[in-house]
Amino acid sequence: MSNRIFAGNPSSRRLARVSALLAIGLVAWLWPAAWRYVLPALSPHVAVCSAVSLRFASMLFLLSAPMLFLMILRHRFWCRHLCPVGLITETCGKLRRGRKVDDERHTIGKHIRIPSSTGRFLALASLGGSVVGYPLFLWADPLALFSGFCTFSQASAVGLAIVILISIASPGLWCSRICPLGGTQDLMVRLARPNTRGSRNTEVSQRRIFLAAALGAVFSALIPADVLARKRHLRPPGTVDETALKGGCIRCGNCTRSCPSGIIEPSVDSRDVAGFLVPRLKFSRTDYCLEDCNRCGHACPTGVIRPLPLRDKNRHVIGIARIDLSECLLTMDAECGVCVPRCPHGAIVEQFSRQSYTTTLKVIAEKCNGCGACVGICPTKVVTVEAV
Amino acid sequence: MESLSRRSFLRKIALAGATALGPGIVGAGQIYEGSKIVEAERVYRGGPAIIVDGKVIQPRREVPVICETDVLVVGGGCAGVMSALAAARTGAKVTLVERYGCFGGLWTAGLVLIVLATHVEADQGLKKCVRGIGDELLNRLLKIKGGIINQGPGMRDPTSDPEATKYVMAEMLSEAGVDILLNSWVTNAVMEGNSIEGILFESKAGCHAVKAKVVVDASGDGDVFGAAGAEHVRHIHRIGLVHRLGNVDRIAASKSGDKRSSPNLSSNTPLPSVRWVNMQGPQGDCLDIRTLTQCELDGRRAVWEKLKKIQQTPGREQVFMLDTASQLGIRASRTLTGLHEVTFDETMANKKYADVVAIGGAYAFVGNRACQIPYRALVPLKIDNLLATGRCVAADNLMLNYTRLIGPCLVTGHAAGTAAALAVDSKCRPRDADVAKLQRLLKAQGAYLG
Ligand SMILES: Cc1cc2nc3c(=O)[nH]c(=O)nc-3n(C[C@H](O)[C@H](O)[C@H](O)COP(=O)(O)OP(=O)(O)OC[C@H]3O[C@@H](n4cnc5c(N)ncnc54)[C@H](O)[C@@H]3O)c2cc1C
Repeated sequence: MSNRIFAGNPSSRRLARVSALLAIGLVAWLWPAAWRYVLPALSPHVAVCSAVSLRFASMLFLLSAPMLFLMILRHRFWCRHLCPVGLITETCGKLRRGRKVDDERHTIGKHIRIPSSTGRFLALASLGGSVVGYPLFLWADPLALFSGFCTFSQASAVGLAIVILISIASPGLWCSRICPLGGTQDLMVRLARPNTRGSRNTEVSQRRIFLAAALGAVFSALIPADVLARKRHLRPPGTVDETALKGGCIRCGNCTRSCPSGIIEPSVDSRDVAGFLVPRLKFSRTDYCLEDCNRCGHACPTGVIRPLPLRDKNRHVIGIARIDLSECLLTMDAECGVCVPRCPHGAIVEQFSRQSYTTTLKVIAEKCNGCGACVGICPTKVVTVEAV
Repeated sequence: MESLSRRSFLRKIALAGATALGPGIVGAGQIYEGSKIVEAERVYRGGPAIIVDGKVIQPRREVPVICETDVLVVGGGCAGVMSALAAARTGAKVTLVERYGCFGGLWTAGLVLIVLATHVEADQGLKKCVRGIGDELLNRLLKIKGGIINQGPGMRDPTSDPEATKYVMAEMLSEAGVDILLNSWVTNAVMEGNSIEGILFESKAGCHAVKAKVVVDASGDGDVFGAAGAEHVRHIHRIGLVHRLGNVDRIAASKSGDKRSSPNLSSNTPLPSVRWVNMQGPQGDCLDIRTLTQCELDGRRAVWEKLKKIQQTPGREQVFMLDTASQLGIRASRTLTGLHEVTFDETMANKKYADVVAIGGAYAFVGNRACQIPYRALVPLKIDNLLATGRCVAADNLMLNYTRLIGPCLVTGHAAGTAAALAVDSKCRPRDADVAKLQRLLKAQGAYLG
């Protein structure tokens, strides 16, 4: 039993890792657009489970192919030499003085023993869940966690923070036993090269594979539907239904980083625990969902925000604008009505009554896609977009 | 103060002399000592129009030139009056042509009264953006009893009395030696190639021309740049008819019922017991004569219907109609397609322009920010010797709701006038004017440019 992740020459590994991290930085610097979405899309774990769960694969799916080959050819090479989370956990592990780097522990604290197959179980359960449309543990993919951390939103860093804590408590534990991407690799190797040494190390019986996947599927199917389906927030345009979103979103923060308006934020809402860190929209005075942008859909590695062409994205209904006429300046005969020219879709119209010779505003539901342009410009803050 | 050429300096001295003789000396009409029959000049129209092949054909004729001037300002609204004053004070010979009989346009004859977007909120209270000649006017109104309220340190949204404003504007124009033509409706531009050389106006005395070196279009509707063939944007906007109610202090507070259900008696004016009531009105084409007629008729009827309801409300029987605006409330009709357009996005991004010539204050939908207006927003794309000012400057269909406010109109008015005079003085086209010099002149005239 030696998937001692951090075995081997530590200094050459460190060199590889730091170079990998620098490479990520370099790509981010040279090609900021790619930086916004490439990272989590590299993970075959994310790619496969998302594709199965949404019955849909975007172009980003292809990005995971190189990693897939690498995983099969060189078992856990990625983990040892390239993975940014690996570098972090290894560094954290060293923080505990007096402990050798490769002295891995398999318990958290003294008592909670983590079975060596945990990562494989997580990966399989996610795959099983995907079949019924809810990939249970996809969010625990290390690239998703790292990418979420890079969103620079405090909440999104939670996942990586937990990994760090685990690694300080039990160095190596995350990488060798829990990481679902690691588990995926173990499974891949077994599938592709059943007789290699790596595969023997990662022995899993057919029965257990089936069991893990079935468990994931059953569990996913059992999650009370209304808890997931309840929509409390506005979601980015082109987002799949609430249940699929909460299950399939890996909380990588790609959409948040891709949005030029900065209106996508990871949700933190005690009344929507299932939607923790799932993207939600928040309009500001000038920022709304631009009519010439569909970047979030193209940045999403899972496809829960669908990569719609511009036309379709603009037709996707985020919500619908509501105007509280009792506080509307124009309705009170004051100089206003600026939401009308502000609306890029011509969805707000003035209604003039010959009878009372007064003017009020109306939202044309068929034209409104809830982009939120009207929200920020309203001086009295009486325009809101409501989820539908 | 920027040094001016000898010529304009001499003219300034001459004008100072003229004003010393008393107002009204420039271009004054003849005054008779009693009613009598005279043999006056015939109204020259080149003969009547005739029918040719069933079509009405105007006679082709030479149009008499009533005067030649340096800077011609068309429209005596707040922007036009500022332009005329600024151009005259910068040293130019100025003629101001106005279709009605008074100054102030929508502010006075349109009974708008409330001067918005003059200040921004700063750490130490309110900071004034609208300074220079506009502020001078507001402060002069302060010296007249009942001239203005909410004007002075720590106050915003000054509200002036229309009659006081008309009077003070006329006084200031006379003092500056501006040649004034009232009741003269400008109908066409006089062009030579791409360059405007003057305008035609209609009056009781027939059609006349005024020739000018630079023309400032302060007509609000862009009548001049429209006629000159300058590129512009046509807008549909609400057309309202504002009115004032009197005896509002006689409302017995105890008797008037629920506040919400009672009719809106809008805001205070300098006159005690008089309140100003706004009207939004229908969206219409402000250049369509049938629409305008309809809006006048319907608007006035609506106002009287409202008054009846007010008078039927217990405690409000004494409220009466003081007046409806003698000028229909046109919000937007044409805006210039300028070298630069004032846009909402740039404004919200607090964009600073190297050629800023006017800065307006805070307003509801732009928030508490001082909004810059660049010189290029007053300059047409192709037509030469023409500047636009007031509510028809180049702005997108959101920002025109800002540039049309009286505060911004006062500052763009000032800027256009000084720019026109500077162009005349430097013998160049306004588009080639030295903007740095213009900014120095404006600052010397008290304007705030950030
Ligand atoms: C109902 C209403 C309410 C408003 N409320 C406010 C408010 O509360 N606060 C605020 O700051 N602003 C308000 N505004 C906006 C503001 O009053 C005007 O936009 C501003 O006064 C415009 O000034 P101006 O000088 O550019 O144009 P105008 O005031 O329109 O002046 C144009 C002048 O040119 C003359 N003219 C036009 N065509 C010709 C021609 N062909 N020949 C000769 N002369 C011509 C006109 O008679 C007029 O005197 C309101 C506007 C309306 C309509």
